[in-house]
Amino acid sequence: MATSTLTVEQIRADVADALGEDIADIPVDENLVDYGLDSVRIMALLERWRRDHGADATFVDLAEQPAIEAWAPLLGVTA
Amino acid sequence: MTAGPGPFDQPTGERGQAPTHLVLRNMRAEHSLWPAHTPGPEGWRVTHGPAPYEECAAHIEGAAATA
Amino acid sequence: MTALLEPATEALPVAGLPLTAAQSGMWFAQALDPQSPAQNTAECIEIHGPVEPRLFARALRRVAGEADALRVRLAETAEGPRQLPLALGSDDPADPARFPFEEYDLRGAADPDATARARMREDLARPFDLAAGPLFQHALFRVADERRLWFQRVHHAVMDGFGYSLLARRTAEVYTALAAGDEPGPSPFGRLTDLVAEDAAYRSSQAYETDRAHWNAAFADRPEAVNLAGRTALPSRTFHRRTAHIGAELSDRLKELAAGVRATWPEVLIAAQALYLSRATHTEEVVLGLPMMGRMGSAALRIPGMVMNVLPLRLTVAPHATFAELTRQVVLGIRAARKHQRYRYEEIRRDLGLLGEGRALVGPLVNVMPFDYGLTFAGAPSTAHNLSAGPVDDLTVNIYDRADGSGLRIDHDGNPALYKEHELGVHQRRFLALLARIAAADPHEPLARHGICTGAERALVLDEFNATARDVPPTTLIGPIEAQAARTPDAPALVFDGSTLTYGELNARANRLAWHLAELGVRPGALAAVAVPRSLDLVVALLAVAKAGGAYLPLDPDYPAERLAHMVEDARPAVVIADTAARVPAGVGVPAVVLQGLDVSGELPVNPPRALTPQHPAYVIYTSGSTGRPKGVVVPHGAIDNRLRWMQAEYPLGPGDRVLQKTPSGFDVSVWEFFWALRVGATIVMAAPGGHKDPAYLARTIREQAVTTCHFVPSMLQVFLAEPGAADCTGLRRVFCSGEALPRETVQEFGRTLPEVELHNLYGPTEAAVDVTYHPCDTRPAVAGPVPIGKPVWNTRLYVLDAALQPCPPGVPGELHLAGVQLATAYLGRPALTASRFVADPYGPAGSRMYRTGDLARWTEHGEIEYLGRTDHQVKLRGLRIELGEIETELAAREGITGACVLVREDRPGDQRLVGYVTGPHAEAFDADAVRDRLAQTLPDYMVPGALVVLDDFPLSPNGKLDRKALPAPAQAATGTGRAPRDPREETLTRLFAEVLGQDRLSVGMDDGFFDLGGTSLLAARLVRRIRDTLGADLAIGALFQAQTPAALAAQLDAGLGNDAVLRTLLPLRTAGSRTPLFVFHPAGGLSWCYSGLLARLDPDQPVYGLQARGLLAEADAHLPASMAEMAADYVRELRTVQPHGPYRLLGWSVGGVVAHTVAVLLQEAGEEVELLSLLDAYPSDQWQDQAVPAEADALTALLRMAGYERTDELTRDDVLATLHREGSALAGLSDTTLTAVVDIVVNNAHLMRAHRHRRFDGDVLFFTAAAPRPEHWLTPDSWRPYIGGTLTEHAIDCLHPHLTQAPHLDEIVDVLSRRLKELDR
Repeated sequence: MATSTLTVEQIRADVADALGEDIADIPVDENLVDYGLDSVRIMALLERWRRDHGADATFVDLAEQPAIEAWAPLLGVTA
Repeated sequence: MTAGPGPFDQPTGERGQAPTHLVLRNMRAEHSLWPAHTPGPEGWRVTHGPAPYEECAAHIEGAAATA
Repeated sequence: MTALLEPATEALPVAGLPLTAAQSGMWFAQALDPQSPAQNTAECIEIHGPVEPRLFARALRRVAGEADALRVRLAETAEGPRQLPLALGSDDPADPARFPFEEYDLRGAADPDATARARMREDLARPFDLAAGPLFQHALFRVADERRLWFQRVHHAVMDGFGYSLLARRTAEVYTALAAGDEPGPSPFGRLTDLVAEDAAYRSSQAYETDRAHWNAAFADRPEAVNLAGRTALPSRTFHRRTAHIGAELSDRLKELAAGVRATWPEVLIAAQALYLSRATHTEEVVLGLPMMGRMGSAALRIPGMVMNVLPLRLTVAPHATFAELTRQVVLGIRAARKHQRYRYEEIRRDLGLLGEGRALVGPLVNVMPFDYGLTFAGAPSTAHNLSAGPVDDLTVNIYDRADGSGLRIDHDGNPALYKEHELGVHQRRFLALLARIAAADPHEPLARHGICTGAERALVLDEFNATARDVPPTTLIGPIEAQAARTPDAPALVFDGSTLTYGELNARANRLAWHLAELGVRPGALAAVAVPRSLDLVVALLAVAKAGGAYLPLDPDYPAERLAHMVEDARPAVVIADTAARVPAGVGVPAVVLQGLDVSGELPVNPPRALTPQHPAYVIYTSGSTGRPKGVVVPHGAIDNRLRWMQAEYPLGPGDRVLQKTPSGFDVSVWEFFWALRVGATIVMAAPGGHKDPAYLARTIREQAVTTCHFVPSMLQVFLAEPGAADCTGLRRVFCSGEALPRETVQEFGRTLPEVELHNLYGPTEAAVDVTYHPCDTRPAVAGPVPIGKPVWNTRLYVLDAALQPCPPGVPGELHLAGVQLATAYLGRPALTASRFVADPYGPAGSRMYRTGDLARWTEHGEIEYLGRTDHQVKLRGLRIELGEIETELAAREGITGACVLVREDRPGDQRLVGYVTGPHAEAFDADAVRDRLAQTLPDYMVPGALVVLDDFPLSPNGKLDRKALPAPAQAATGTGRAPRDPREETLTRLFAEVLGQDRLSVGMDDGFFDLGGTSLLAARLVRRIRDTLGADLAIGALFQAQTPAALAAQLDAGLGNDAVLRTLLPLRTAGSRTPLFVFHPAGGLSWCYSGLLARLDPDQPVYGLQARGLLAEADAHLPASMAEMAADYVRELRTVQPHGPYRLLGWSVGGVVAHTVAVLLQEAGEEVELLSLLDAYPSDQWQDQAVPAEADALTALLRMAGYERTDELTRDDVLATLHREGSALAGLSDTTLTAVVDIVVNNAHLMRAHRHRRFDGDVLFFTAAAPRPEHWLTPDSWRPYIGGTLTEHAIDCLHPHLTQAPHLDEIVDVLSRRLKELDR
């Protein structure tokens, strides 16, 4: 399966896209719910990351701590 | 039912200065005010606008005066 | 098998836990109706494959053991409602508390799926016993060899949708493991205690306060949350559901669209629903309810339980905004709401004071559930079907993404009290069609391009309902009339005040005037103002103007001069035609044609030629203008000709018909009253000026003139139907109503009163040639509901359009627009106003126009329009069109007034009146009457507010706008200051005022104005009727407008003679009537008031005059007569001022009889005929001669007798007065001077009686004896024999002398008297 590795920057870019905001406005350490992230967007992002990067996380995993730095390990991002 | 300004009423607030309306004219030289957000019906030509409501009203008065 | 006791029973402390706020919400909802199953939620998971039921049951038990929320019961305790631990039962069938799992094999059933669904519905209808538990129920239905339906029902207080998904996933996991012989693994669930703790922590945190503040601010202006039903209802126990599917293709397009505008598909659907709601309710601002799972970043993500919340989302849906902008609004709105989403919906409602009031916080709910389970049970795939998502207060749109590539499922759930099932289907169909159009359109175009009609609905309302095209020959108002005149010149055309003009005569007169007008410049395109009151000349003038080719401009004679002058200056007619010179508006510089004294005999009586086309104006009628100036509506011939032709086709008139013309010429209803009949050979019957306000006059005229056709404004129709004579108007064939909303009750009253007469409801503004819609009313009692204004007339189209000018489907309110040939040409001299109201028609032929009425309306399914109200500040008051703005402008222009607002108030049902509110003046210094007088100089009387209220400030609503609803009702209490009544008539009048106004009698003073006290035209009609019935005085309603106080009215009733009139020698008890007057003569006390009882009993056409003793008034040269002959001669002189010559009718009671006989003799000696002499228990003077002259005591007796009482134990004058007061006698109102005079008169009369010698009256006498036994037993009518030449006919009345002039004995007397009078009348 040809997938690329997910990076923090990629996560940030995808989140920014989902929120219709500039990537510069997306923090990595804050609760993204405050920036409008909802369950539907999380599921859509998860879909994309599973498909494109072979990520293996559940919705509940991501929803529990909706911050990029919390997500990184769950999504297989290598530091 | 809350009746805000309708499509042929002068908009309230800041929008009152926005180009919200058109002036239409038909073959019988009759004029019609028209909201800019909708295409004019068949048989009517745009002769002014999009422009603010008051400007459109003044244009119609002027056209009548010179008719 | 080991006992399957759940490991986590001890997870709850014995004392249980408090409820979370979310759970409390559900608890209280259930408490409102404990037997209601509405709080049940249920799901059905269809498993496609083999299932081992025993294993399945084990899996269910295991999961129940892991989910704390399933092992509780909810009960009220000393600390409030709590969730208490509940042990789950065993599998033992004998266990009364066995685990709630049932298994069914339905493979033998005819339709296993249907049977299963029926069982599920049955179970869903069972309420849980919260205190007992368990609060869940499982069932497994085997519907095929390899298909089972797993049903679960759980009470919403313990579980929400997300919780279901956790439970379902875990059950599938556990079952799959068990089926493989594996250990399911540790419970993934958290503890209920953690959920409770998290909730408690929030409630005591700063965030809670911040969240509360946020929601209070967001809804500070208390917006109205509209819903699709247009009303609210209590929650029901069930709901209706309609299910539809959005196919994969449309789903994908919607998802693409969403991505393109940086949104998710649920947000797109929410935006679409907002658009639908906005257009379906004619509202720009809407509030949707969004259920939120509320578990992000929370421990709740792993705890099955009840957490969800509903958040209100406010949106503005403006036609000029794009769909992309609307969606962005949704995105940002939800984002902002989420920040404060833990604050509960029930708490927001409570904070805003919306609980229990039926006021909603949100409109429809939009519940988007993007999860699907994709669960497998030991390899068997499954599909989930929601059966109930919980209680439905109004409407919830549930949207599921089945995530199996088959698209979205949509359930419209509705409260049955608000939505029938098929209505939900209609909303759903429209919503789906809208989604398809949105998906296919460019989201950056204005929303105005979208409407909510389905394709079929659009064709229905635009085309099918408007198929009214009809070929009409191009004639004008006048052409058909001239043609008719040529056909039937001798037929009656016009009747007024006893005169009739034939068609030939009318046409000739009009022609002569027309030639004259033509010389003065009246021609096609020119105007001629007409200021002529109702008369033959009015019709002549209108026809003459039309014949000359001009358009007439009616100037209502009742308007203030200033207003008429403005109209003439504005319209610049070629001439002003008036009946008299005085009526020509002053200073307008237009040539006047004064009909009085005008000699046009030199003009030709033939039809003048004219180059008149249907496009030329036919008439110009002025209507109220919102910015202070009335505006002239120019109606062309083609428009009104279409209207009249349609009317003739719909209600065929023929030569036998007679049309009543009563509507003032300034109102366009009058146009058909004037012109319709004359086109078809029928006759116009013209009412007297002012007669249109008098229901008794109208009833009489309709009967006497055999009127077949007439018009009423609905409020006037109500007054007319209450008139006793209305039911006799059976000669009517058809009655038309227009001008204001026609209430169903009035239609039913019409059906009861005139069952054989047709009633038609018409509607139309002045801007569209009188009427554009019509509806034949079904006047039977069983018919209910609002009365429609009906279908369009010929060559007319009606559009109900939303704020984006898109057509509204049937049932949806919008603004009514009119199109077709009946549109007016323009507002005279107002091009910008014309262009803003007569606008381009997007649905008609190219280049055509439509008129926007400002009326709110909706189509019925049958192609009729229902009127719903106004969109602005124009009102109809008793059919008269008023722009409140015009009155407000005039008020605000008055000195000292800083602000003005005018309303129509209906503080008493059915009683509407104009009330003005002003700021600026000091309340005490404010002279309301002066201001109203000033207004009356420019405004017609119906536009002058009946009351003016001074306020310090206008009340404002929370959003800073004037809050009209908060304006106070004006104080209605009459002051009762001003003097007290002085005589019986005044007393009666104040009593009647109070009765009709619904006020205390003592609070109405003699100087209180009827309209100031709150009277209206409707109540005025009632008062006039009461005055007629009580006082026998025939007052026209118009008189009330001029004499508004009891004092002024009394003066009116006495023919303006002043308040002393009731003491004058000639007392006009009733002046109206065409018969020979009856003169009645005073008894001993000198007053003839005792005869007032005759008035109500005699024919209203019989005038009655009383003769009273001189000396009652302190007149300078008054002296008491020295002899009966002198007295009689005085009276003869008085009565001859009324009736100079005979034959005379005379009546007298007691002493009055003797006087009457004496008068009769004098009249005969003067050569006059006396055709009636009636005596009521009167005896000739020789019967009294031996009696002693009465002292004062006897005079007092006489006084009492005069009032109708026998003297019992009254000794003094004061005693007598006290008795009179106690008995409520009008005599008690006499002044001391008058009373003294009465005593003197009594004594004097006694002298005169004894001294008199009768001469002989050569005629018959009609005698009434008081036949009850009395002390003066010797009195007999026979004693008159020497003094009567003819026959004496006696009628014995079984009563005492004083009671003859009272009921019921007076009835008998008047019976006989009336018959005699009738004989004489012939």
